[in-house]
Amino acid sequence: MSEGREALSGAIAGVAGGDRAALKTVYRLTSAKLFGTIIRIVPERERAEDILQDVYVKVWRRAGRFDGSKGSPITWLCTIARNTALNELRRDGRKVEPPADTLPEVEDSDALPADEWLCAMEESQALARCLQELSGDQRRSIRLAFFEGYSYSELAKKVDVPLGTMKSWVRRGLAGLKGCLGG
Amino acid sequence: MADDGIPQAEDPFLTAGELALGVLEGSDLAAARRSQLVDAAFAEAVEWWETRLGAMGEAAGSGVPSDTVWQGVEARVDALDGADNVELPMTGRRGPAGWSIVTAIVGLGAAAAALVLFLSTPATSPVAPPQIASTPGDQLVAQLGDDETNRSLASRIDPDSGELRLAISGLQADTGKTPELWVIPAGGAPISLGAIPEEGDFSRDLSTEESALLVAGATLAVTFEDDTGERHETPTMPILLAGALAEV
Repeated sequence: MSEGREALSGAIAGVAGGDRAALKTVYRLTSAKLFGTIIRIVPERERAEDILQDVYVKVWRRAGRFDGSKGSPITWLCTIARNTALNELRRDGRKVEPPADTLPEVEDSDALPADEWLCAMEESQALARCLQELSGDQRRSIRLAFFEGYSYSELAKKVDVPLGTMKSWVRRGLAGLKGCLGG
Repeated sequence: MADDGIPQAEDPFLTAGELALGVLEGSDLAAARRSQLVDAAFAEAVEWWETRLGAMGEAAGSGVPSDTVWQGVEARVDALDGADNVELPMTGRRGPAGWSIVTAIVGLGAAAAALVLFLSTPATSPVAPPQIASTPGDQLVAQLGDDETNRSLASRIDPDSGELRLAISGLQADTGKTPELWVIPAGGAPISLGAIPEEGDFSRDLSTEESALLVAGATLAVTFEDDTGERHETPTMPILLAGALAEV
């Protein structure tokens, strides 16, 4: 386990014990990353910051449920951030469309993240390898759904294909990932 | 697999993946969220996908939030810690005189009428039993739904962590109103569990007093109330949804 990942796991354990300083450590280590995750889905700064606040309040309440054996701490935090942003989106709608040029950014980017020290490299590499085994349409659709938080009908509209085609791409892609990742 | 070659979402594991990815919408989304709450195997599959797909998020960019975000987090955590020490004023009280079977039945829909009958004759409850998975465990679930209005609420209570989780659909209230969740202990009066969102997933920690009320056989119900930011003493008719809590 990397030093950064260990520090983050330790801080989450501290939060589970009610340690406010540990929460600040988690915030310091991860707020930029989680903000990046949220603002991709809700590209309005003020709204994204409100969601970020919600996320750390959830972390304060749920830290006891983090299980390091099931995944990396940053993945757990990113999942909370992403789900909170998606819930906000489903509840209040997409008020601002992400700029159209965001599409290429999420396409097949295998660049290592800047804060590599936080990451669970094994999981990231396994997923990247399995995504590469999918067809381009399947891979791009799944990436677009993940990064921008698009639903099936939004994806179909964005990529300009029939809804059934989009569902087919995503389901086939997920089935491929399931096999490749050993689900 | 169907003729059109699309892998159908009949494979619950793939549906779990669709939910984790966030592509589901409408009734498919509501159904998957309900499954997540009442079906332990499905919930585990969603977690599997979230962990695997979550690794993709590590390639997302980062941004610098304003300093005020942390200040807001601190203030809200302070408020939470304070709230944990406040006793629920309504806990344990018996029903006010206004909550009588006669007044309650007047003008109610089927769900509410069933609830009232349930309150009066708990041994032969006409409330539809929750559709639950047969996985043994000590969690509590209730599925509340109304096909006519497409309103639904699935709830799961984890006594170990003291957490209440809800998947809500179609509870859009008029301006100035908000959906409010109630627990009705067997033979007791409704006690407010506070306002809940109109749509989406919601979770919060339960106080010790609330956990003591949320036991198998108690009924959960939803009404629309004035959005005052406070819990109400008695529910306003009609009762929109009602259903019994059962162990899974």
